[in-house]
Amino acid sequence: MRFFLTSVIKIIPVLFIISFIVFFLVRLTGDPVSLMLPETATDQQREDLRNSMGLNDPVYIQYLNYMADVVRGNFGDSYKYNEPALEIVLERLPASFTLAISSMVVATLIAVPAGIYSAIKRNTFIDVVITGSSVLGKAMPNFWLGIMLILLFAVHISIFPVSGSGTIMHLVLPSITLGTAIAAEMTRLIRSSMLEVLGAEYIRTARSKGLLETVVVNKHALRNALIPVVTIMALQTATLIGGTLITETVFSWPGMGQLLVQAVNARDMAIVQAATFIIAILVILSNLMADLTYRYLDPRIKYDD
Amino acid sequence: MSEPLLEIEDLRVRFRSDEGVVSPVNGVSFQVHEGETVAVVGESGSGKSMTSLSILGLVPAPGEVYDGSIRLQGEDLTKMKRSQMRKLRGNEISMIFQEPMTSLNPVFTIGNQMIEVIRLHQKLDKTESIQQAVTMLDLVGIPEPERVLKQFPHQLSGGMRQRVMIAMALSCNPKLLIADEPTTALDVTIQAQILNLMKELKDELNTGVILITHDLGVVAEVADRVVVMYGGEVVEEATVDEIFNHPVHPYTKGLLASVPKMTGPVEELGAIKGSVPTPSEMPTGCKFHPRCPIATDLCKQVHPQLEETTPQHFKRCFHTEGGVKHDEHERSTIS
Amino acid sequence: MVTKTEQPNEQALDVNNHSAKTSSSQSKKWIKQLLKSKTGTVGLLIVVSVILMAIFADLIVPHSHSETNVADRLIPPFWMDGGSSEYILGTDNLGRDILSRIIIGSQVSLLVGISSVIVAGAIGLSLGLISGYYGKWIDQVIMRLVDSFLAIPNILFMLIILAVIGTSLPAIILVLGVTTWVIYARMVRSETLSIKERDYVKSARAIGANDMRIISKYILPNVISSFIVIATLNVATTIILESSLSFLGLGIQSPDVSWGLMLSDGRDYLATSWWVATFPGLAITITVLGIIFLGDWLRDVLDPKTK
Repeated sequence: MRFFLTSVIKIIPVLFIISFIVFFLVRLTGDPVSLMLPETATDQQREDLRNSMGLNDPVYIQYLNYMADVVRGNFGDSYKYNEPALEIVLERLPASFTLAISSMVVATLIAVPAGIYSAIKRNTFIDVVITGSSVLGKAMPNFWLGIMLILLFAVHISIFPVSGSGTIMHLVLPSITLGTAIAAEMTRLIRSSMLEVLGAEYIRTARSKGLLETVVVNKHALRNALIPVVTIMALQTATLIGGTLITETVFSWPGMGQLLVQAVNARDMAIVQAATFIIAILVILSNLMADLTYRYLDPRIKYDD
Repeated sequence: MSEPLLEIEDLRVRFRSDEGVVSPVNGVSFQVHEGETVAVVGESGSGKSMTSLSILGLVPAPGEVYDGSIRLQGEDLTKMKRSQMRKLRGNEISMIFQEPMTSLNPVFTIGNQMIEVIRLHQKLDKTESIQQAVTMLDLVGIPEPERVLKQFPHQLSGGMRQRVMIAMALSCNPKLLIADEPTTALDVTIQAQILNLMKELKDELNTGVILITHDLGVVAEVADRVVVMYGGEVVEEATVDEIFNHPVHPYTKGLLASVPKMTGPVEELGAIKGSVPTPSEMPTGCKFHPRCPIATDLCKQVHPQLEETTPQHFKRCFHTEGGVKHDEHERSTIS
Repeated sequence: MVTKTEQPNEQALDVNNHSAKTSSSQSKKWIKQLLKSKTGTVGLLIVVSVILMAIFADLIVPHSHSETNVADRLIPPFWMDGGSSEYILGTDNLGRDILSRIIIGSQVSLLVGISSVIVAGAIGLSLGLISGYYGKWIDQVIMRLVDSFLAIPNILFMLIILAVIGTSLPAIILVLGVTTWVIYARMVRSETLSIKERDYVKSARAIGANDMRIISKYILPNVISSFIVIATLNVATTIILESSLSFLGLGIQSPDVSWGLMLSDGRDYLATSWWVATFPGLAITITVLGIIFLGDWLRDVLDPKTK
């Protein structure tokens, strides 16, 4: 519980800094009034609007007002959709979640067996192939892999739709694109973690008990090897979300990532702000989850506090 | 004497790598009888641990047993299939390792790890195996065994963990127990308790014990017979009284001379300079000659054989009492 | 007296000789080690060729990279039907030679990759040293700043800043630098924390060495090898980030050439002309692969403990 409190206390300044950065970035975009009024508007009309929006107040007052809004979940209306920005962002969240989760499933299905196998077959041909593919996976830009998958499986052999959403088929290519990118890093982590664990003395104990090698590897070694892997992967949530930005754009997947890229390009700052806050909160929550999972996986931690 | 429980003959282990071949074990032979404790003594690097791993068939890759035999009640373990070998491990032959802190898996409960081996080798259902685990923990003197079963290794002290290791090793009633430095990592009072426990259990269960150690204090306390190893071979073998009262080999004498200094896991020998050469740098002739106070030119050129000086006392040295012996005194021809 | 003053000199000379000898044998050892590692050698070859390609780009391009030629649009690579040896890798939708554009595009990739790593490295190194060395409240402030940067995906951060300040080559370099410094800061901080506690640093402080001296003489040299390894590997990351930005429309803008931008152009012609999007991606992948190989080799040589 104490751990939980200290983590929460650490989060507050982080959210504060983020709000600060976002506030100033948005103020820098230029005069929102010029976007909101027609070009024919008079100077008086512009000035009135500025006054009513509080844009003529001192900066710190503006920031306080802004924070008061943010705390209430009010990020302003999107000028493109004419709706509260937060609602639009939240509407897109489920689609992004679906993609993120199915990508993690793809990544786990690839990385766990590949990582284990290349660790137990260290320095053999199969290890070289697996490690090589994981390096290649890291070297390939995500969006290019997506485009190549479209080229192969949607254009040349029309198995999957090129883009869009709606059916499970639409989910396959984006999940593979994002999933393999995650798998590349995960495989490497599992391999090195497994190699370390396989040299541990409790593995020798397990073997000396006469256990099958598969039990030694999949029970005794894997459980220990996963502890650092889970933690590091959870800490990469930001990267995962960054990946959805690109993958959703490539496949026109109607999630938050695609919305964000479009909003940035259209300078729809209300949406950008709302989405950035949501993402930051998601990342911070998942880091907290990572800590909790770590504590769950490693019984040593709980009692050491 | 009755047929030995374990008979190791001319055991050789080698590791092949790009840099060449090294052999940490070079023709080791000794026997263990039922209910007998044989101490294998030597500094680190003498090949004693590799010998014990060979018995279990657990020499780490790329190492291999390439010659010799290990017979358990007449059956050669080196020729066994992997699946047959697995049935013996933890069942007929058990092992206790040096570091109780790291030898138990940190993420599983004591119960999980104990019941695992009991269910594997004995046809018991879950409640029966829990009962067996409780009995074993009770046997090794752990209070509140039911509670300990639910605990994780890190919640127990070092001495308790080593008791758990012993309970686990004995839970299938093995014929042979190999204990690799079982007390080195423990403090002195706990050491004595664990050694006493091992002695009691051995007498009770009539188990043959191989005790691997560099600690002659431990040897004096529990061993019946002592095998002294150096450079991957046996250099002296005798009963515990013989070794302590009439040591023959200069290496054994050196080990004994450094006993009083022994207060913890110190692997340095006060009376003998230097340390065991690595297997790739083994000298020709007698392997001990660079460190030997009485070495001559003969020792540098000719490799001495293991020979019997007095009945049941073997040594591998040219210069100590009895002088140069002939081949008919070789141990293999006697036994 | 004379001998006494000469002795230290001799010693100094001796030390110099010794270090000269070791540094030349050191570099020989490095080359030997490099050739022993197949991937390291391949990585070096790739990186050197890309650098040469970028430097001599204007001399080696077979065609103009920007001149459009609608008559020759979407010509396939030379081995396909309708391909010509004139355009080895084919042309894009405006009839521009893809090979020439890839060659010119290497300039942007390397320039952005290397300069933004310098920017990020400088920020990260200084903040990491300050944070690790001085600790206390300044460490807290910097670490919360790090946490904040970690809570926002790099790519999103960059998109927002670029949307606000507008895109240009210097802006992209700056933005990449400002958003990726965190990794260096964390690494330098944790290394500094452990070096700070070593006996030789403590004794240097005890005899009165000031902070600047301790940092430059004891801490920096110990941090630098890990730093070089991470910086090298991050050139690869930034190249991918730049191409992603350009792909999303907020990076390099036409008529400048970037591999990411070429890919983005090619996306619309996937159905008919696969080569437009394929080759630039291949160029990125090969370059990044080369840098990763080289970086991994550097890690093995310079910083084996982080393996």
